[in-house]
Amino acid sequence: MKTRFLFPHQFRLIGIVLLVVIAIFCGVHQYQTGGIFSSTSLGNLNPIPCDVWMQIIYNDILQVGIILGLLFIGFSKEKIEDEQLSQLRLDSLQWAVYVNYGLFILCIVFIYDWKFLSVIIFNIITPLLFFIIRFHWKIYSNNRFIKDDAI
Amino acid sequence: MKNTIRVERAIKNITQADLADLIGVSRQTINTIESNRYVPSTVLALKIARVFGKAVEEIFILEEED
Repeated sequence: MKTRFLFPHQFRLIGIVLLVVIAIFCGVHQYQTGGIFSSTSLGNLNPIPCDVWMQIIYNDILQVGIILGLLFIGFSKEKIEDEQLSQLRLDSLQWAVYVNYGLFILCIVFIYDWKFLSVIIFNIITPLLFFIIRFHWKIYSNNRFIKDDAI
Repeated sequence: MKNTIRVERAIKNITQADLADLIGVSRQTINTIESNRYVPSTVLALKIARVFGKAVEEIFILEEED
């Protein structure tokens, strides 16, 4: 079956490696400086010192890396790609968008001030995260059906 | 829509995995079709019917609520 707009299967591994590298990097950085996304980049913009520029570039690379990693994991082909999986993928995507915006509406109502900024930042990746979790959960539970049904 | 794939497989004595290999889908897909959790496309239904050498209507049967 022809599938459009999907990465080759190997891209999943690339995505996982990318996220693991970023997670390790962030962990080390957090340990050394006490924060991943430095707030100095917003507070002191004129003129921007060299180390703040570096911080901004680091942040950009990290954010793009996280998004690319999640996209690769979510939208790479499975080993045997067929129409049932395509439908499962689209279902999961729809489910993820509903859940994401449902939670987002709750956050709009109940969270204010600076805390809401972190909600918006998390919201950049949560649709992809929810999609990946739901899609793979469904594959896992379908595989469990096969085991129950072993013939 | 119900189907008789399980019966046809038993007659032909092939497993879900064999059928999946014959028509180029995953075993999971065959399992979801057999347990009525997924309705296959026309192309897939025709391929399944061809494996069993029968007409599509003999394998996939409409039900009242369809």
